[in-house]
Amino acid sequence: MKKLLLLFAIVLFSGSDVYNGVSYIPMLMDRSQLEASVQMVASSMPIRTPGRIYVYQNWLLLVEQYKGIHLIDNTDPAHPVRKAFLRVPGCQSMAVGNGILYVDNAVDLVGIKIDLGSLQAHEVARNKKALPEINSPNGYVPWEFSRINRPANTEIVGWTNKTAIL
Amino acid sequence: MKKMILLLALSGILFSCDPSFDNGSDSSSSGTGGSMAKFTCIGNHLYVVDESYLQTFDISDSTKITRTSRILSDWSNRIETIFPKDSLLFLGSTSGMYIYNLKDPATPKFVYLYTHVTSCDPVVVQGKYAYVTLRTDYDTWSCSRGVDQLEVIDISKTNAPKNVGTYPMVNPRGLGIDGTHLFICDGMDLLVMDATDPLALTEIKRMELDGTPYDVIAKNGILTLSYSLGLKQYSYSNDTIQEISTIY
Repeated sequence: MKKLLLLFAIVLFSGSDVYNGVSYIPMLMDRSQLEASVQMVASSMPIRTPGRIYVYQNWLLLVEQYKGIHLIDNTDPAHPVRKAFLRVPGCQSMAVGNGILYVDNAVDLVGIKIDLGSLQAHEVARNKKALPEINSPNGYVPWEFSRINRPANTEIVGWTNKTAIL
Repeated sequence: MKKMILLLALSGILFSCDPSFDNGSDSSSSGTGGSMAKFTCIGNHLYVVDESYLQTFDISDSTKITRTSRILSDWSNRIETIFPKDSLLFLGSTSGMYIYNLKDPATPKFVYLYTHVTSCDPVVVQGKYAYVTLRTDYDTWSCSRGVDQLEVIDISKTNAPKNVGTYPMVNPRGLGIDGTHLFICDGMDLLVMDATDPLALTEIKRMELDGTPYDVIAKNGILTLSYSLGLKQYSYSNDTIQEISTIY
């Protein structure tokens, strides 16, 4: 699939990540940094690029695209309160199973134990490279940013756009 | 030790109304995702859709995430969403809706692919009907030849689903259903439909938002909606739907 897409990209755009006039560059993180990146930020953060949502008991979880998860106390849905932010670089998805929060930390699948009383988080499991690389919003990883063309031991944790001239 | 005592002392006050994620074996040990979900947990398994694959991980031991299967679902198209219903998984892909059964939870088994034109489509299921939105997405080349519509599919025979209704939409994304209320993120609007008769949906209300809606979860009379500016919540009953909060 990826190969096919890459071929497409090369044929159509001569190898640059340009589609509909928008191009994206990846945000990279060293693997060692990635593996120590999941952290609870005590204070809440403003919502900037909201993504997927998840309801767990009286809590709402809201993905902040590529950055992490807002933990929102929804005991009173008329007055939800942003309580904390779980920093997870490369995060797009989540689900809770057996009381553990599972998230994508770029290409790694990570299990996190969260104490909602004290708002503390502890990583308890990590399956490295269980997931494909994060595609650019155009739907693929451009050839120029593939593993062999970028610094060794780096992972894509997100994409930022720069306006193209196309 | 002091921490333990403190926690115990607090637990009565705090945890009764403020439970932790690791509290248990009851049905509340997992939660509810939206229609755009790529992860879902059922019992001791985590199911993940990514591009062409449906992956299954054993999570019975919380210190390990062990892959038990990785099934190629769709070589030429992308799997976009996953929705669990009873012992079935419904996957939304750019080429159609996949149905898998979970007789062996470690290795989902393919049942049926309901195909449609190339488009981006989440799916939700209630009773014997699946509700699928098909969307044209000009930002992603793989969806740019699609259509914009809602389809209702009778899935009472999982090996022979059939279309029982098609409704034109503006540019639909996530959707959710709770009882007779069907909610659809459509263009800049939240569209509320009456699904009392799944064979003849009717529009209750179309509400324009100050941003683009992305996904919804409808549960126990509360609708949670994520949209480009933040999170909105609504209460609903019968023909009444009312916005109750917004956070940014």
